[in-house]
Amino acid sequence: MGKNKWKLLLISFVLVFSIWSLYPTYDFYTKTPDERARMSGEERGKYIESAIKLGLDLQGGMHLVLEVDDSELEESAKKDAIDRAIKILRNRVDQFGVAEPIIQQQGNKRIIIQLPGLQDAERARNLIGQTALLEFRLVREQEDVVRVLNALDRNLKGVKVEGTVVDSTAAGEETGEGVAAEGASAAPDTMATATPFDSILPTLDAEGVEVPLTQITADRPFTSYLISSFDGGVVVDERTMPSVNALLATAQAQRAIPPNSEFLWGHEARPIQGGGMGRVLYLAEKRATLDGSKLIDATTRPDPDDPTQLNVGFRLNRQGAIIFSRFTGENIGRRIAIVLDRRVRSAPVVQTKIPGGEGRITGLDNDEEANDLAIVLRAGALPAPVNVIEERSVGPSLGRDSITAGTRAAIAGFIVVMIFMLIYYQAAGLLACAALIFNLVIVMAALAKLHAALTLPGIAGLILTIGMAVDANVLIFERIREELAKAKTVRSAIEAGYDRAFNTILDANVTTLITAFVLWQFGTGPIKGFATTLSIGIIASMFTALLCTRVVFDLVTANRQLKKLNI
Amino acid sequence: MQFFKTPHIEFVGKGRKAIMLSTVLLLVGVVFMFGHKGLRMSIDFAGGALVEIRLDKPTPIADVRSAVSDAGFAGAEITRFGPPTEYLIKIKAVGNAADVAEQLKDALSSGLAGHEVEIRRTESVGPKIGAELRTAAFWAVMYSLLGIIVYVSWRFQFRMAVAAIVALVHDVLFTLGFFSVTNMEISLAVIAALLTIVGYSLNDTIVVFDRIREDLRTRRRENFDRIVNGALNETLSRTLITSGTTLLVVASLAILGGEVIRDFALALLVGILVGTYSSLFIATPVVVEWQRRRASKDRR
Repeated sequence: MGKNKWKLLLISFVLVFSIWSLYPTYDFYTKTPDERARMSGEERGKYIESAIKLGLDLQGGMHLVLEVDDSELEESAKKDAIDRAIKILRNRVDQFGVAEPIIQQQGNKRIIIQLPGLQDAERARNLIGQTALLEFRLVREQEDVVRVLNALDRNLKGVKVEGTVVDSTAAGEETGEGVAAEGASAAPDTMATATPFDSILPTLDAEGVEVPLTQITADRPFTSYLISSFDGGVVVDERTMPSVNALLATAQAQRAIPPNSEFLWGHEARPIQGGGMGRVLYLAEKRATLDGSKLIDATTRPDPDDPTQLNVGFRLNRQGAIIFSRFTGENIGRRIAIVLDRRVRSAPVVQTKIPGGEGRITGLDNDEEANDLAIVLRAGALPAPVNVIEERSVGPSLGRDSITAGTRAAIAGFIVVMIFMLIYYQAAGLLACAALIFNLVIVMAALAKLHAALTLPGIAGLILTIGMAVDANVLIFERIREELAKAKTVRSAIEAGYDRAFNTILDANVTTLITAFVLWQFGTGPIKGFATTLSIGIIASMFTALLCTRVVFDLVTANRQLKKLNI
Repeated sequence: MQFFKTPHIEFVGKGRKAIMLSTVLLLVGVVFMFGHKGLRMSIDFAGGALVEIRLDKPTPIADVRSAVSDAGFAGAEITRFGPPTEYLIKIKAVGNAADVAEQLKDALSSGLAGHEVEIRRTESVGPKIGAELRTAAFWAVMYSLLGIIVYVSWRFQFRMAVAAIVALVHDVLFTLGFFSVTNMEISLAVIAALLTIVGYSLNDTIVVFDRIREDLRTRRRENFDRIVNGALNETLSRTLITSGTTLLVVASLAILGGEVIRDFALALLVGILVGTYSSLFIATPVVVEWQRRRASKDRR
């Protein structure tokens, strides 16, 4: 009987250990949301360590796969780029305030980011997706701009690009006869924002009347698109931006632009005369005098001119401050473009030398954008742009519904199987049911101990485990029945039943484990959760069916000569 | 309680007919799969964007459709997802899926005026990822089959391994055929179900093979066909009970588990049913057929 003693000891140990492992889970999920919200970070961390984690599909959240676009980097910088990108992204996400984010590398170009419980997916994507490259570049002076524009007109004569032709009727309505009326009815501040065209660019239109979109004249293939000037740049109707981009991309246009300069779009859309929105196009130095790598801090602060607006104030390090001070001192009266991710945020005129190495970024859409910009600037620029190539986000309500539906299905499946086993195998069936419950306890405990997340497919795996775990018992019980039919004694029938069923159960379960392993390798997130629960469930079912029920049979038949087995 | 005492059903004799029947059914499935429509791939594999919404009151699908198409998404596929307040909008094979999902969200919020639109889920998969997942899914199925052929040849005999694989390929093809004929989508979850079927539907086959292995040792004198048929009959009740209990839980998953997991549960349901059939009527007859051919070769 010594063997059974050890088995009993092992079983009790597994049982106690499992229940002990599950206690934090029970404790955490039976707390009211209020109590959970009141928990301190340390306390929460303890639960996160020890309670079963819910997958993104159950608690809601966002799963992102990013690809680093290193096509513009040099070979030597490529290897380093992904490590730096991960570090910077982790910084940003931490400051964004998501509990338990997962950021990991996949392959040599990809980054997986998981943000559990996240509500605002769009904001998160902006925060993660922007390169956040801050640059200060000198804006070219007007004479230079006019020279380049004229060169563009000369070079682009006869060049056709896609989208150049604008629908004449629509444009005519907006820019023809109706201009005066519409312009007059427009809100006064709208008019004020778009500085009326003056004679800065005399070759364009001396009258200060905007150029209708349809009048792309043959001798002015480029400047016909320009509406007015603003902030040291020229304004283009947003609708014609693709055409302008296409024109600028041509080889003819590139020859007209000096190699040390390039055109950059403004970030903000501003109302233009005659309705619609315009964008400012700046001609700036190609080389940045200073970039965000010299930045040591960025914080939000109210705009001094309009306290309802938030600006992002930044501070440069000593070296940056020296460069900035010299740069501003040398360029009093000129415009400096503050460029973020190749979009000009603003281009203020330098009034005086700025020695302290501090500045601010204005023109942010809302407080959130200001907060997030401060975060990305503090965290630093990504070494290369990243593209979102896969995104899955689940809202909290769907997650809750999935938990309800999954739990309901699990309970229903569990009850149906138990009823069947009780009717079909009676006393032995009861034993199988006990083993089944034990099995589920083990699986849950293993999930808690392995820090594996419970996903919706994971619940499905649990349900499937219920179905498969009884299989082992069925195989054994059927075999025992068969042996009993051969008129063997109860005890030898049990022995033979377990011995003969062992190989079958082992082989059947190993093949399922093989595919579960492949699935685990192949799948991400939810699917991995399925493979995990299924694998643990299968292993646990071998333990409960082959070891636990056997001990009970042995104990029952040990000291008595049973004539009949209730099976 | 017991459903039946050891029955005497002639499985082996019916093997050829069963193989014929299966071949016909599989051909129908394959024709559908490679026919004009092909297998419908979900955005996981085709690339694209998906948005699941819940509205505050029941809304006809036409309203949702017009809101989506007004925003310029003419090719969108809109389906009701459970109750008449929930809809699933999919756009396949778009370049910048993440942007499309975002635009769709905006279009729905502004297009369904007078409704409160709750975005329950968004997914976007770039075309490159979709193509990679397709390849990965194919290889996952191949690797699991390879793993099984190795294990079964080691534990049993090579011919049994081949027969088991024939049955498994049969099950996978049948399930894919079912999805194709019913025009349901193949998603990552369905592939997970397929792999599970590969692992699980083998269980019944192994129970039978195991009995054949055992009976071959104990009843050396008997004819191979008889031993196989005997083994099938002796294990019939456990084959049906084990599949039955699993079917019960999978059915409860399909009925109660919710829309998100339904395709997965349906694939499992079909796969387990077919798997049980194939272990009785496909896997074992293939072994018998192999034995017959070898026996006749030996005689010659």
